[in-house]
Amino acid sequence: MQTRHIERIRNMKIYKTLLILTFFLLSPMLISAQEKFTISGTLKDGATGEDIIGARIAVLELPGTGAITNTFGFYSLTLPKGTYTIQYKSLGFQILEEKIELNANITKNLDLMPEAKTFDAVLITTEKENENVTSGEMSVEKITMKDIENIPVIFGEKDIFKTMQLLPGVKSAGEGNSGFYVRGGGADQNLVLLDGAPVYNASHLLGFFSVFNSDALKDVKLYKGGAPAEFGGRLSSVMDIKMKEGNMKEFSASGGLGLISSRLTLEGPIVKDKGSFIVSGRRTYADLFLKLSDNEALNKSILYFYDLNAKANYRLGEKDRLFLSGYFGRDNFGFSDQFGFDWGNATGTLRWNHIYSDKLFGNTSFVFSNYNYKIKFGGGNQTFEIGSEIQDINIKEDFDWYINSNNTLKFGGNFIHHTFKPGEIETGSGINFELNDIQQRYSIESSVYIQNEQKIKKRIVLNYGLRFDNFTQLGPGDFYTYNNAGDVIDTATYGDWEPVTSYNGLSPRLGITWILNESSSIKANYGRTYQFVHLISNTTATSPTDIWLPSSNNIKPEIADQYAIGYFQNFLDNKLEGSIELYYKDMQNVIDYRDGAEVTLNPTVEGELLYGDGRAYGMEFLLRKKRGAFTGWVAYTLSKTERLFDGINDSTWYPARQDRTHDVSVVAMYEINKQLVVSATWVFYTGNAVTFPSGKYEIDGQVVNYYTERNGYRMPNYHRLDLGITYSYKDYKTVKDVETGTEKQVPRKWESSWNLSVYNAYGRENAYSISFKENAETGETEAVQLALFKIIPSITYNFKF
Amino acid sequence: MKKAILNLGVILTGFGFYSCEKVIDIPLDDADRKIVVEAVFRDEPGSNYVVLSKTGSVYDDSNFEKISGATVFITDGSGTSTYLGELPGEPGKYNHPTFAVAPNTNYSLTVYTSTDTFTSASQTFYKPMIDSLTYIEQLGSFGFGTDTTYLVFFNFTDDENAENYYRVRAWVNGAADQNLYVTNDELFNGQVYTQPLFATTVEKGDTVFVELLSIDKANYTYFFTLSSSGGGDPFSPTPSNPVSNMENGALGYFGTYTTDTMTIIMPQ
Repeated sequence: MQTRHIERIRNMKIYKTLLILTFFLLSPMLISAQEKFTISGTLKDGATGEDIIGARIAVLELPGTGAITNTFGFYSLTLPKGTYTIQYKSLGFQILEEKIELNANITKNLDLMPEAKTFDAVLITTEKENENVTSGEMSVEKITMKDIENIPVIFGEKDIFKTMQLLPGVKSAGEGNSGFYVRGGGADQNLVLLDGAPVYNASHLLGFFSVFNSDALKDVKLYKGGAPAEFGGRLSSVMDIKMKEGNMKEFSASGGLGLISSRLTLEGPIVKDKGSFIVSGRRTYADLFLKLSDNEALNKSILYFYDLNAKANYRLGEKDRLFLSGYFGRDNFGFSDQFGFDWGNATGTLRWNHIYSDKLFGNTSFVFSNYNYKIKFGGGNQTFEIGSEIQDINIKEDFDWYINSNNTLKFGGNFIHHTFKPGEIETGSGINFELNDIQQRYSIESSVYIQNEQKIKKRIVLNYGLRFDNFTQLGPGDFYTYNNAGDVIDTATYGDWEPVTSYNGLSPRLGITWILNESSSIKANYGRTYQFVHLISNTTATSPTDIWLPSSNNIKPEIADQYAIGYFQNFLDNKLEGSIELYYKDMQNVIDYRDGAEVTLNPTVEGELLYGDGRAYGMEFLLRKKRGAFTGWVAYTLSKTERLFDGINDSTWYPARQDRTHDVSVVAMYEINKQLVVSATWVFYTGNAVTFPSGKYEIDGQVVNYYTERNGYRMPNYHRLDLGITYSYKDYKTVKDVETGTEKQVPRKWESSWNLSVYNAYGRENAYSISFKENAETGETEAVQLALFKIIPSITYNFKF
Repeated sequence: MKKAILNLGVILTGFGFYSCEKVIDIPLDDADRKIVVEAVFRDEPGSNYVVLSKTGSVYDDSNFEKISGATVFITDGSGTSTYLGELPGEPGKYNHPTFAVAPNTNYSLTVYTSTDTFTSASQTFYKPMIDSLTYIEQLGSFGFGTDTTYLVFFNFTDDENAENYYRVRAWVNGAADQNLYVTNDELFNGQVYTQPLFATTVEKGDTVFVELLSIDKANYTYFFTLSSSGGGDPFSPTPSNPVSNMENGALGYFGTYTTDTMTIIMPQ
């Protein structure tokens, strides 16, 4: 009896302790279960009405709490009931402070005014520009349109692609090559999105220009790694490009006239402050000079490209907004009327923003994208045309849920229907042999994702998410199976919409930012990505005639796992940003080709493919000065990227073609005064890995080169200096006030500037290709280097009104 | 077509884009010497040769060392061996004055040098027949030039009973055309096949001599990979060695071919 009584007492003590403990644990929750309200709205540029992306909203009374506007300018911040001073800030705009009494949910749609134009070269700011340190993002490069304006590039054209290639970890594919490489990945591993629509070939004229007319763009962000779960489908990077909406307040036109090309942008309101449009066009006319030629063939030749960007948007009330945007561009090359080659992209996006509540923002998109090319031989009725095409139709739904001040949840889904036309042939009536088209291929790529950004205390930002992808190849068609030698051993026929193969992939994403203090942080991330569409190209250079193929019963999806860690440190009160980042990327099911593979117009091209592994690792270093009269950056990348395939290079690791050990970019811009800006860019990189012969012999009376290892040699080092100078006319007039006699400065309606730039200022002959040929006279074999450019100057006149 | 794309690159560079070519110094490793066997046997008596040579350094002149005094013989399916003799005055080149391959037969080649033994196997198929040679007129040549040139087509009928591979060679006014034309019958088994000599420039009054060879799959693979093992220009595939049917590490090929020839003369 007694023991039981003692036990009961002991139990009661335990219960009491538990109760007290529970109360203490719960009490913070009880205390914080006080009322919370949400302040939300859209931030716009007060001068043009453009949404401001990535603006920061801070609460003076609660340091460390805040929000960022999303890609449509929407923000949402949940705080406990109280009185606050809210600060709205964004680079290039004046800080806006609003005192609010938060005792109910409030909507605050605000305009931020552009920074007052002072005539001092040095801008004074008291706010801490340390977003690169404190944000939860890493492995990301952002380019503002202002950065691009002053950087000298080839032919004087502002180009976001070329400017991106000056940042660490992003390597250009070289002169005359389209595309770029990010952290050792291939040129097809970059997802280039224009307002959400994928652009399959983002280069004009074999890579000398990008297809983006910078006048029509608002924001560009490149994820080199650690891309959030809303992105997938390409292993190496995501370049998310947003077009401008168009000035909602007044009509405006801007453009430029240059030696090689010209461009014009028109924008304005459809209904003031409710809807606007922007149309932007660009065309080169290098071929106009050909018309002056006496040679009849040259006379009839054409060489040009053009782009057209158009966008319209309309606000259907407080909570809804509609956007319609499109891009159309084409490159056209023709020699006499015997040979023609044209290619281009067309994209279209229809988007509907809806604000479901103060905390829930949603976007629905319908996207169309098409890339195709056509090559034509012959004339009259004896013509021969080869073409190839890839087309996507895409439906996307994305939600931003601002749960509370510490958690922002993004989730959504994506459904893409791909159509691949690897080779279509048309012969004129005068040709009497037939070649069959390569069968079209269809597939569906669908995904769902969820990602949360969580702030813990004031020091840690955690980003975690999960993405699920499914890729299903569909009929109709004949699907081949191959043996190890690449011969067809089986053919299976499927009907319309019948599933042939299906792949599933789960991609976790994880990122941690540990803020050490106001000016330094350590970040790390891990992410897995799947890629289901592959660019088939076995040539040394990328060419517009490379074809896209889907994953299939033979081609497995490519998979990449990337790990990165970085240290971010700002100096001189955030005037100087520094970062050092290390990464390691592991790739599976990477594609290479059998020796001498024929990939063009080959119905059994999948038999020419080999599959293996890849790995890339490196260190990226960046030091950047963003404010002041003198701005610019120094970027250095040390890296290695290799491949391993059975049967290539004796089944040992060999350098990938795009392996470049050292890559340096130095960019400097100096604002001498409000009217004169000079800039210089110096680029240096060690050469690509390349296969050169180690011997030669004779077959059939011809000398044949003998090769030992794959990519065992290097191209010569590449370096080049570009210079630029921009002279802007004064954008104000000095007017004497008649009554008071004082002088006043009145802004001018017509703004204009001249830009003079020199590409490759010291005329270095950088190797485009090296071939080993027999000298016709001496019979000796020599290494002949072809260089594309020496010094190229250009002048452009830019205007805006 | 690859040539046309290269032309695009040339044009872009040619149109005043300040491009230039120059000879540069690139140090290259010197690979160990390998032996090259080039063995060709036709179905015409005496029309055969085997050339034995060695590889050389890239920058040395192209006098490749020849291998003399080797034992070379070809054995047919029934085991009969025919020994080739070295031609006087042509060291490294071996020949049999009357030997000819027969259709639909398997052959093997054996080469004994002082240091190595090399073997290979090849087979012949039916004797092909060129139906006709035709041509069309065109302005300029592949988009270049403005003179009248001709595109010559060869037409023949494939035997549907087997997997066949073909090579076509052309001589224009006696000079051998170095372009390699090879094809297989996957797309036209048993049917008439028409194909242009699309990289061969033919002008008015030229005499074009065309030879059609029926080859085996290994030879097709060899010539196909030989033609695409690029010259280093950016529009060719990554350079690699052609896939040889020689055993034991020799470079080169062993081919036994049944052939047919035809001549056409262009109008003046």
